[in-house]
Amino acid sequence: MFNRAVTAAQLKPWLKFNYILKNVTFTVRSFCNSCPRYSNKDDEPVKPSILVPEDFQAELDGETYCPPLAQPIKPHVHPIKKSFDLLGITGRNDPKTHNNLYFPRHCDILIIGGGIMGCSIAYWLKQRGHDNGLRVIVVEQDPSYTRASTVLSVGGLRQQFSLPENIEMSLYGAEFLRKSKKLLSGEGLEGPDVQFHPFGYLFLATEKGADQLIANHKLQTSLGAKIQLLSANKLKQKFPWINTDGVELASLGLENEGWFDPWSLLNGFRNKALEMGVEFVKAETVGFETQETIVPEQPGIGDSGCYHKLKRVHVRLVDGDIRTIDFSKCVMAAGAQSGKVSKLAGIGLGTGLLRNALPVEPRKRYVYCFHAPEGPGLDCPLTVDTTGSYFRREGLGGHYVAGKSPTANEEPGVANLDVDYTFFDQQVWPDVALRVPGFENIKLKSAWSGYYDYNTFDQNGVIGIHPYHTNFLFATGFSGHGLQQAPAVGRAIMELVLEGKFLTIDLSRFAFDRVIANQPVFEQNIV
Amino acid sequence: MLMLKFGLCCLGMMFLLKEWLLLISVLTILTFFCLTFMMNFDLGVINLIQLDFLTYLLVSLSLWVTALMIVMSFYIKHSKNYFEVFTSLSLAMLFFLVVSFSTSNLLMFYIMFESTLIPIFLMVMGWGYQPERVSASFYLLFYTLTASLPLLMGILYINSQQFSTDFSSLVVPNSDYLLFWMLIIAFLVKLPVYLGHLWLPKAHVEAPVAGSMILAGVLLKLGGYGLIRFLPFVENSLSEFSVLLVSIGCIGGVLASIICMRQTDCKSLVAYSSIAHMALVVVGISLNSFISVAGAVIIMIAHGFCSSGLFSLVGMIYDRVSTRSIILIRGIVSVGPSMTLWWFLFSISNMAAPPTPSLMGEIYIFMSSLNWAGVLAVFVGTLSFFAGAYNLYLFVSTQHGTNLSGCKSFTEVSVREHFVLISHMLPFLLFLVLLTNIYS
Repeated sequence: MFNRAVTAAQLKPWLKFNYILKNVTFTVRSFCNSCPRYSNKDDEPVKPSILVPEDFQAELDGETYCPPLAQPIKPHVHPIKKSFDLLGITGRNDPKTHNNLYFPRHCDILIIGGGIMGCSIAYWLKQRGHDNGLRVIVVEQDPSYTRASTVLSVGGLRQQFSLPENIEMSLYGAEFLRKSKKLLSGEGLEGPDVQFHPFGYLFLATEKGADQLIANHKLQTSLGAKIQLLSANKLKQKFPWINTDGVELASLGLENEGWFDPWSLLNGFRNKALEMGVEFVKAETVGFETQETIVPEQPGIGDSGCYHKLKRVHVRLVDGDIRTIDFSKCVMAAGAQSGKVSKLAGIGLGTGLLRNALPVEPRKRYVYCFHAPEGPGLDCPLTVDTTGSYFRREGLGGHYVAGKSPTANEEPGVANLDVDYTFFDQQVWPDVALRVPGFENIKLKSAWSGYYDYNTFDQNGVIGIHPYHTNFLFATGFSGHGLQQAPAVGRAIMELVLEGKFLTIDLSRFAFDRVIANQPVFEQNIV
Repeated sequence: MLMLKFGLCCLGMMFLLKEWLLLISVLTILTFFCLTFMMNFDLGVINLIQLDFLTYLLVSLSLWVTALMIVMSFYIKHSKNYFEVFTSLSLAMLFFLVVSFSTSNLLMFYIMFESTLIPIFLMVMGWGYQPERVSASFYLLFYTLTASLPLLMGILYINSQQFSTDFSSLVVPNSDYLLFWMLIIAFLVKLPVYLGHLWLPKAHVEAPVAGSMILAGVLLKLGGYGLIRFLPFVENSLSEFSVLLVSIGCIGGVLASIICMRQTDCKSLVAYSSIAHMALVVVGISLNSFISVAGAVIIMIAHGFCSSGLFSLVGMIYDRVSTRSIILIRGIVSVGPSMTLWWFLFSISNMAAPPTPSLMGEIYIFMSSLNWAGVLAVFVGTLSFFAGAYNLYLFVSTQHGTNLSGCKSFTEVSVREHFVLISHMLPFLLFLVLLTNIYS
């Protein structure tokens, strides 16, 4: 692949960067090369790795970028004085001294964000082997999860994707949910009851989208999902309440699809992680500190320079105190705020490999809950209409929740979580009422909104190691389908941290490299 | 007399706190100076204290390890974390150690023995970096203090009986079992022997690198030194209890080595290996023959270099990867092969591979223990086997495998670090040459 005897300086300029980039990112790629490749001929050809195009010009000056500190480095307290202070306050019991005394200043793995991704990763990291001695800290700024995407989610689980990785992750999510009560239980700890409703997803397609639906179906069934294709007549037979105008084909998930209670799963992961010794710190990340390492010239690696290794994070506690936590590896699982927090680490503010920011930003999505006495009743899957609106049954009293992803020019502002009811009246209700005549007579009961951790690049998760900051991992950007993939992503990150490569599901296509190389991996939506 | 002059030199070096390099040079030169006296001891003084040159060995070891620990604590200097205070604490510790190794007054020995606790306590509390260091320093302090209170009472009792507190005037008493245990317990906990060992892993994990180096390198030898010094005095009682002591040593050593295999923290693994080595020392001393005590002394000195070197290696890894977890440190041979060389040399020395002095010490212990009772073959054999096992485990886990961070984040081993490691390894290998003096 490369010849170490040739120095970078001997190559022509347009090959030089490619050569250097290959070597700098070769460690990341070599991790992912050992997984079996998907050989699905009907799908688009799967590239063996993310190759940078030959004409991709960038300088490597970015590698001298050093993120600014949140605060100047505090001078150390005199150690003798520190010892006597510690001796003095050890006996006391109040929380402030407890914080002072016991605030963890060092950990092995730091997880930023305590939502479903963060808690899942913490669980997986600790459950590998009994007491593997890893010190894991989760920094979560709001342990009551008032604005977290996890708990405001509709809670769906489906395998009807078009990317094999997404399908496999959701299949594993279903398997994990089935075993979650046992896996997440412990001594004196009862496992969560995730209240999984196995009613499936129903995707409706017009004539234009039928071919895509068939192709997706083929891929899904080849990977083990149980999806059934229904023609318009069969659909009408199965669900008499549906209006099949304009529907050419539909696909219904028969097993492993449905919806569940995200709050129970989150608590399940969190409590199990706490029981296994993960520390949860209530603080907000405000900055990173790096350690300079002088890198001598190494043939094949690049010119000598200065590499800034992320070493320490600055967090602000509730009372305004800024503390530092040293870490060996850091996992970004901050959900909708991931892009902002990654910028604190310099990702997106430098040049070269640090040029591209993490393309994750919050997008507000509304969910409306209404009562429809003439609605579909119990046998109602989570139906995704051809227009993009979706609805599902909620509870047993004739309530339903519905929503729709707005188009690009209708995107609501993300400053707060206020609900816009006109969106329901103008967009969601007409669509669902058209599809289900029983929804013409409804009473809107309530609504809420939540943030998607929206990946503006290709709306799929970013999972992997950053090519420059090799101790910084991403597990974010799932754009609305993260909850169902949380167990699989947690396991994938655990494999990446502890083994250096993906062992079960190969997620190398979802690495951050694709943002730099500008190779988006899109889900093929049904029209 | 000469030794006290050495001791005062240590205090005098406090003036050199600002000039770091000068300080280290003075310490290393003092070591060589001290070593030259080893050849000139007068064995005709008294037949009870046969290992007079034990003093010189241990004083040289403490001088050398102190010099190296000051070199290793460069990070404290770099981050301006009160390096002068740290150095003065190390020099104070050195003074206490030198005096305790060289004094012939029992009470003075006890005072210095206890005084060494204060600098190490302050080092762990002040420069350690985890919240658990509070608990660790308490364990360290209270285990050793509690166990050595009977020692004080025993010494005062001896004083009242014999009107003298001098090593050379110890008269062998009738079998006084209570006095025996009162004198011995302090050293057994300091060594540490398996049942009183809980303070050691905690203290080592929480201490800064330099603190671990001096703790493993010299402070544990205080226990062995005390046992050897008191040996002629308690010989009669020892013959009564030698079975017990040898059993605790052997079985404790085997258990400690097996626990080693389960550790996930590198420092904790090396700490438990210290316990396993010191278990052999206890066995050697309890057997009370020339060869076994000689083997114990050789293991002590060899372990001083090995453990100190291993702790400085773990410290170097921690500076680079910010973790001590075996699971996260891997593939060093791909990114820092210079360090792999040192890891290899120190791992094989720790597992007593030829041609290191550790092997020589272990062979002496094996010979004498098998001569004493054949069943010990099982235990010392198992101990030796697991020593190989956990050292290989440590080496293979950290060095082989895929490196998870890439080569840019792993700095090359600097000249200062090479100096520290070579200074551990070279005297260690040259020590074999010195051992020919045992018979003269």
